Parts: sequence; structure tokens; C-alpha cells
Amino acid sequence: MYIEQIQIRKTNPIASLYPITKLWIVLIYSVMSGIIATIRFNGYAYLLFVWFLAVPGLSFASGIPFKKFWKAFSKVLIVALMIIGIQMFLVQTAGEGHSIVELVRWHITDWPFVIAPTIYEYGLQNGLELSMNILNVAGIFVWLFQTTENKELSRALEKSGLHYKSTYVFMSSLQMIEVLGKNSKTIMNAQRARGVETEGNVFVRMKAFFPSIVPLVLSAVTNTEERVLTLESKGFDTPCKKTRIFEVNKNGHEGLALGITIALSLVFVVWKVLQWVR
Amino acid sequence: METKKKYTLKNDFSMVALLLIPIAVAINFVGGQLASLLKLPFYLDTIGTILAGMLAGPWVGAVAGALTNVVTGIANPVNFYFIPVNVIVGLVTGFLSRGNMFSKWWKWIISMVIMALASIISAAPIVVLVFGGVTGSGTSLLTATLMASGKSIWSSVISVELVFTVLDRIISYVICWLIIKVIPARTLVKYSCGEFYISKKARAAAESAGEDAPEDESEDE
Repeated sequence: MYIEQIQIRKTNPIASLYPITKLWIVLIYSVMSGIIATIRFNGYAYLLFVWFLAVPGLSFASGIPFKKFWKAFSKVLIVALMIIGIQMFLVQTAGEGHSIVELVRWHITDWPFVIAPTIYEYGLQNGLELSMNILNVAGIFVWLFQTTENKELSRALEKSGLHYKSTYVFMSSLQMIEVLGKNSKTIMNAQRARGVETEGNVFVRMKAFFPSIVPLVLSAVTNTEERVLTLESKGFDTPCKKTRIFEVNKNGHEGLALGITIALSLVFVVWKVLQWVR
Repeated sequence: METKKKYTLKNDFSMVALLLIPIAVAINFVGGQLASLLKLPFYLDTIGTILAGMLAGPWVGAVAGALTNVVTGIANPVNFYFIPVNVIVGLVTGFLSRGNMFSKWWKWIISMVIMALASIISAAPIVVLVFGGVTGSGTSLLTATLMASGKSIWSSVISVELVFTVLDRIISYVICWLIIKVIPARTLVKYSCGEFYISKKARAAAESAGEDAPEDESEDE
């Protein structure tokens, strides 16, 4: 019963794939995204949109609720839209000697003193490629981290040979972020109660930064000594075999998942080779 | 006679240094959060890396930097692309620290210049080649304005990055200097490069205490 509570039982076959397999899928997907970006139809890399469909497809097939997915993904989406916008309106050409193709010239009115925004074709193509690349890679990483618990990932990496101290540092970092985050709010409130101004112009706010962060870091660093003692007393540093209480196992569908990924990738590789040869 | 100190990877990654890394990562995270909470136009996510580099050398600093961007990348995948920037901050700071480049004020200025150059050389190509100049942070608006006024992507990004990255690093270094000043000598001594930062007063106090106590073989740690 106790072990059951420690182990995470996932029912979705895709979400419970072995973490290393998922890492392979992420890697293949990202590399392929770069390759597909070079397949152009009339200058536009339309296939990137098709390739991108795998991200929401995988996410919903893994049973991730839309809100969770959206929270992480929206940040990247905003960056991508900004990239397209700026490239589209501002980037005219790749370099000297290339012709500037203006796609759309809008005239809001016929008044001579209204500036009409133009969309440059090169900027649009470049922007689409850059942002779709980012969306693809970021999206697949979002899928990875939303279907894999951090301790599953560390355990799988350890099984593949990562040193146990590295795993500890990784897990400890995630914990320390929470701890220091809570401490920082406490310290900021305490300093505010002592009269440190946190609202106002940039310089006032900058002055508020130092008294907030110095006590935080200081207490964290000086507490390290005790934590070292604790770890050493628990045998962390001794060069003996360690036992693990948390296990990660393959769920049997890894071969199928990798097979499908490689097959789909090969389709596009062949497409690219054919395009190149012609 | 003072022998030149030999740095080994094993000594760099002692238990105290290993435990410094999660703290460095957390500081970077919190620093970034505080910066956006107070709406400052800086990233302030290298404070921990610089601290780790100054205290425990380049490799510990580099690991702290890389891990920061991996962990923050989980929440905001854009940060994955900037792993090299944080790693280089850690490496440069660590090597400068080994060369004791933080002891006099003029050495600080040289270190700052080296740091600023290293940061821009590593950050600008990523911003231009991967993001086309726009990363979604506060400085992107400024970059976009410069681009709209006709400058090329490279010069807009580099000019904006130059100003804000340099300021960012200066603030981070000042914070680290303040912190190291307050860390007690007995903690500093446990880190590879910590001995450079022990103040003269503490050194004098230790030596006078050492004269009274029986002579011990000093351990090379």
C-alpha cells in the first residue's frame, strides 16, 4: 500500500511512456522541425504548421487538461506572435542586392499624411519560420514536462548512468526554489514593514531590491553547513551502493511510440531529399 | 613559502559547493521573479551563478548557470535557448575569481568589462538568430523601436543588450560582493576560491588565534 502511494500510477499509455523514450521523441521532433523548416513552397515553410499539430495532438492524447497546457504554452505563443509581427512589418530584406517584395500596402485613407504600414514578404517568411521553430521545440518540451514528474525523469536518467549526486542537485534545486520563493515574500514584507519603499520610480524600486535579496541569500548560504552535516550523517558521501525507493519502469509501448516517431520523421526526410535532388 | 594553489575538479565540487548549486539556482529564479515583480527592466537571473562562480570556481558556476535555465525553462521554454549565456557567465566569473580579480577596485573594473563583453557575445547571437531580435522581455520593445527606425537587427540588439546587460551584471556583481562581505570566514574557507574574500581583519584575527594554539598541519582543501 505504501509503495503504491509513492509510485505514480498513470493510466494513459502515452503519458506513462518511459521518460528516456520521451526524451528521444523530443529530440527527434526538434531536429526534424529544423529540417522541415527548409522545405519551402514558394518561400513559405507551410509544413511546419503540419508538424506543429503533433504538439496539441500528443498533449490531448496524453490526457493533459487544456488549462494546464495553455498556461505554459501561452507564454511561448506570445513571443512567437511578437516575432511574426516585428519581422513582418520591419524586416525588409536578407541583405544587399535582394529585392524587397512588398506584400501588402495598406492605405487607411487617401490622406497624404497618414503613414501606410507595409508588410514585407521576406519578413513574413522569416518570422513564420523562426516563430514556428520556437513553437515546435517549446511545445514539445511543454508536453514532456507536463507528462513527466521531475522525479521520474531524474530516476530514469540515473538508471541510464547519471551520477546520483547530479540527480540530488537537480531535485534540490526545484525544492530550494519553492523554499526561497516563500522566504523572499516574507523578507519583502518584513522590509516593507520597516519602511523600505517598493512602489515609485525605477530608482526607488531598485533600492528596494537589495534589502530584499541580501538577507535571503545570506541565510540560505549559512544554512548550507548544517545541510552538509545532515547529508553526510545519512551516508550521502560514502562510496557504497545506494538503494532506491522510487522506481520507474517501461510500460511496453516504447517500441511502438519510437517506431511511429521515426516513421513519420522518415517521411519528411525523404520529402526533403527528393526536393533537394530535383 | 606559499605554493601556488592547485585546483582540482574534485575539490571544486566538494559537498558544500554541491549544495551551493541548488541555492544558486533558487537565487537566480527568485532574482528574476523579484525583478519582474518590481517591474525592473533587467533580468537579474545570474546573481546565483556569479555567486557560485566567485566562491567555487568556473565549473561549479557553469553547472549552476546551466541548471538555472533548464529549471526555469520548464515553466517558460524560451529560457532553454539561453543556457549558453548563463554558462558563460559562470565560467568567466569562476576563472576571474581564480585569478583573484576581485580584490582591488581597478581589478573589479577590468572584470566588469570582460564580463560585459562575454555576456553580449554570447547573448546577442541567440537573440538575433533564434528569435529575430524579440524575446518577449521588456527590452524587446526598445529593440523593436530601434529596428523600426531603420537600424539593422544586429546593431539594434547589440546596442540594447549592451546597456541593459551591463547594468544587469553590475547590479548582480554588487549584490554578490555585499553578500560575500557578510559571509563569515569559517564558511568562506570551505569553498575553492573562498579564501580570496576573507577580509584582512578576519585573517589577522585567525592568525593571532593561530599563534596561541599549537601548530597544526594545514590541510590542502
